[in-house]
Amino acid sequence: MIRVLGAILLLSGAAGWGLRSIVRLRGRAQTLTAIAASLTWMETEIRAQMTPTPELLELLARESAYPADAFYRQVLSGMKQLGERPFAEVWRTSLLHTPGLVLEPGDTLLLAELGVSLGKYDADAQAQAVRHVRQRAELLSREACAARDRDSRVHAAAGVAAGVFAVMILL
Amino acid sequence: MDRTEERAARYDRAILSLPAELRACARRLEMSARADAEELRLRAGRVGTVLLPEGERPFTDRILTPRDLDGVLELATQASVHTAREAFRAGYITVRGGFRIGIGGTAVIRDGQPDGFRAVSSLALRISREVRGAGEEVIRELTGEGAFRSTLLLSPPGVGKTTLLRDLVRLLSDGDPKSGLSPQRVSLADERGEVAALQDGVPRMDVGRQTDVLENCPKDRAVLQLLRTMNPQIVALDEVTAPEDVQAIRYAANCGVQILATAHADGLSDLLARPLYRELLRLGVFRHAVLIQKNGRTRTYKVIRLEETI
Repeated sequence: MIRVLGAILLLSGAAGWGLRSIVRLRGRAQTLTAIAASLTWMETEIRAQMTPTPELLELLARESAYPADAFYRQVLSGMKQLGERPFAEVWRTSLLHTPGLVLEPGDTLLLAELGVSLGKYDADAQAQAVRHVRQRAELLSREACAARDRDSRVHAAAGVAAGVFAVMILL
Repeated sequence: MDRTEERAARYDRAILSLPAELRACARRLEMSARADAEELRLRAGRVGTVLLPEGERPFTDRILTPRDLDGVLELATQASVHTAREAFRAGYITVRGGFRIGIGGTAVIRDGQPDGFRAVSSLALRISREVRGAGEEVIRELTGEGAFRSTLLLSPPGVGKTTLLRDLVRLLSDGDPKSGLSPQRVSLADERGEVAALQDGVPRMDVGRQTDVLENCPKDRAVLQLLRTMNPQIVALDEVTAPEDVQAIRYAANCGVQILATAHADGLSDLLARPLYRELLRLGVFRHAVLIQKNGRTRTYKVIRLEETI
């Protein structure tokens, strides 16, 4: 009985690991796609309307897809601490702590760059910085989508197979 | 709240424009210094100072860095420097409450004109204060037969032109029974947002019940727009500095509107020594000039009848 219970636990643990990898792959693809789309909007708003940063964040928090909307909400709420913390820090910590935002360290580094230039230069220079980050985010997003499509099944199969293998050895 | 507390409260509002650490240092000043403070000076590589009537005195022990100054501008613009571009070109920004921050540093020049700053090296936060009653001393001399006549307020920078302008606008707008002046429609071209200090459309300073304000718009264009849209009896504007301003004043005067304006000058002879102001006086628009002088903490006003002097 204890052996069977152990086998079930091993199997579900390994499957869970596989499932977690799949969720992470999907989450990253969703995050990068939503952020890249919102950056297109951000660039247009800054260039054409010279929208002030708080207003811009409000707009993006309202209109962006999940989880980018949650990220902009987090930055907007962090803006209340401006004067105690620089905007770049508010932006960077929001990248690290927004629930639902799934990013690899390289993605975070890229997006954190934007916090340093956002709201600091004239509209053209900012729009240029946003475009630069957007282009790279789009590239990462395409890669993340390809990885999701390619690796999801592999991760699921690997998880289950690892579980079955461990069970077989133990039994 | 007595007058000292009121003045100190205005200082406390002004320092909300500073990042937390600097704000905490600035708040440590004693009440009398907070009440008397005219400006806060922040210079990279130096300690922060407060400008009092007797001179500058440090309010921080720490040497300020360019990052500190960037922090002030970030807070002042709510991380939106791009929206304050025109103001940056002019070398200052106006923050909530009508406080002006002057900027010094390495300017960026485009097409021969200043176009912002590459590096900021000093900031001057001016603590503007409303002094109700400042204009009562002179309003009677500026009105003849119950009607206000165009007036130019003169003083060197920082002596109180804007304060007197604001109170005269209030008196003209509300009317002054003591001088037999009925309420007038006043249009205020407040390019730097220092006179009325609009916040969400509502003036934070008392500029009177019948005053219409156009803020953030270059003065010359603001005067023409106000003439077209607000049907003013009096147009008020702060700091005549450009030939375009003089043209706008001439146009307004030709429309039968009285003008209340300010100019940087030590006195009438100083004013006449400068071609722009010579031209302004040559137009014969202004009937009076008020010379503002400061002796320690006391300000005195001297009304000059221009028709008799020039």
